[in-house]
Amino acid sequence: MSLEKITDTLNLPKDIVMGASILHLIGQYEVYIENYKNIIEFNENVIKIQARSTKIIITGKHLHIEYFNNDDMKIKGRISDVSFTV
Amino acid sequence: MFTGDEKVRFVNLCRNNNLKIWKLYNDENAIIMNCDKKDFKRMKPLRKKCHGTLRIQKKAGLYFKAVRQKAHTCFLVGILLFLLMGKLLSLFIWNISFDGNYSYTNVELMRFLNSNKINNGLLKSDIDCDKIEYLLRTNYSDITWVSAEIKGTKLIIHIKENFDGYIAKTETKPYDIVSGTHGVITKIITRSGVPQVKAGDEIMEGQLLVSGILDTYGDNETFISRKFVQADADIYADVVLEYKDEFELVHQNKKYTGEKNNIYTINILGKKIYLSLLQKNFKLSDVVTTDKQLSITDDYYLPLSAGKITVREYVTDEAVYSEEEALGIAGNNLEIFIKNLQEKGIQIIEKNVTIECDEKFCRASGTIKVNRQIGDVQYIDEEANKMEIPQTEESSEANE
Repeated sequence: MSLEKITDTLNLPKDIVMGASILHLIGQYEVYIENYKNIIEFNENVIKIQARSTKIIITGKHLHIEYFNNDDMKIKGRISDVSFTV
Repeated sequence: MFTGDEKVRFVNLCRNNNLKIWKLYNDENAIIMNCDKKDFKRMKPLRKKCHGTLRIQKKAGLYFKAVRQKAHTCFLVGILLFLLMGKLLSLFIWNISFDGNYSYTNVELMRFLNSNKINNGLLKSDIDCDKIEYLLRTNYSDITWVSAEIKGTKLIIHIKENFDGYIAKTETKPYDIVSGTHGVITKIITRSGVPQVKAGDEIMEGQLLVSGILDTYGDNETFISRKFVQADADIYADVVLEYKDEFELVHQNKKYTGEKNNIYTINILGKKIYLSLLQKNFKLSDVVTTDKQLSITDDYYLPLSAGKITVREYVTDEAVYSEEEALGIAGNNLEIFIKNLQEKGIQIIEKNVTIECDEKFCRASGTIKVNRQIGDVQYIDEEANKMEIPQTEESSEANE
């Protein structure tokens, strides 16, 4: 049984058990990310972030990092797309 | 600003080394970011690792501002002087305010305090709040409670006045309560003394209501002793008040011509300085003076006030009230009269007022029946009312 199924069955929070990232999007202006490892790519059109098992790709215009620390980060700009790749 | 090929690595290294950076913007081959002064120093080894260059684009914040101002010694001296002045001025009282006074005006109370050498510009340490409270209480018998407090550079005097005719007991002499008017008693509650009337009694002016003489009688109605007290009672009576109002129909109408003179003043430490002179002399004019004392906070007043004196010219012309207007004015006056009575807690029972206008005058006359508290103090002459204890037969025999 995979870890995902176990957490589903036991109703456990995936961010704690699996280390899944938490993303809060505020319209298309802000995205708040928790549980990430590091930044892979950073320019004003794309910000690529390494999470525990996936990569989060945020594309848009005039993107910048408002703040970031070991726990969370906030990205601002005109966001057009948020995608995940392995 | 970090410039180099490994800019993302640099950012990640900063994060791993717990360096606080925020507002990161990408600029072609560089990253522009904000960081603390101490974190900037810690970035230098990281820069070496990433083979890039670090450059300060702009220094912002209070620390850098203060360093930049170092050369301007005058500025610093100015700040110090300002603080010193502020401290010095805060040692004095620059504003006296009253709170809770209705029948005594601020001007009257201020004049009284000034006559007792309590005025603006006095050292806070010289002010004795207990003394101010005592002075006000003893001088104004119908001020029942006074509290003086110093807040900032402000002396606030809280007052509670007497509304129900109660007399502060500073007197030690005994007295009766007598009626000051003609009426019918509706309620009497006696706290001290012997009531001489009851509810429903008709009373005349000067009639004794509550006696301050307490006689004690023995079993067979023999007089034992006499005691003098200060009579104290709440006495309410229906009283008829006469109302009379008269005014001429011909009156002077005031018309402002629009001509005015503004004189600006500055008041420093109690001295008034006029910034402009009176340019025109008006035959008839109104003078309005406004004065605004400067304060840093609500309680921190300064000995500096700015004022404006406005002199407005007017001319008068004669006009005659029409009957409708005159009736309206007379009615309005009557309403104000009644409202004033009601504000004093007097209950209006009945009003019978007629308003008549002839060619020259408008007259309102009649009676208003009210229910109000009555009772005036009348001191007792103890010598005249002294009564000898009658000697009993047994005691006279014993004397013989």
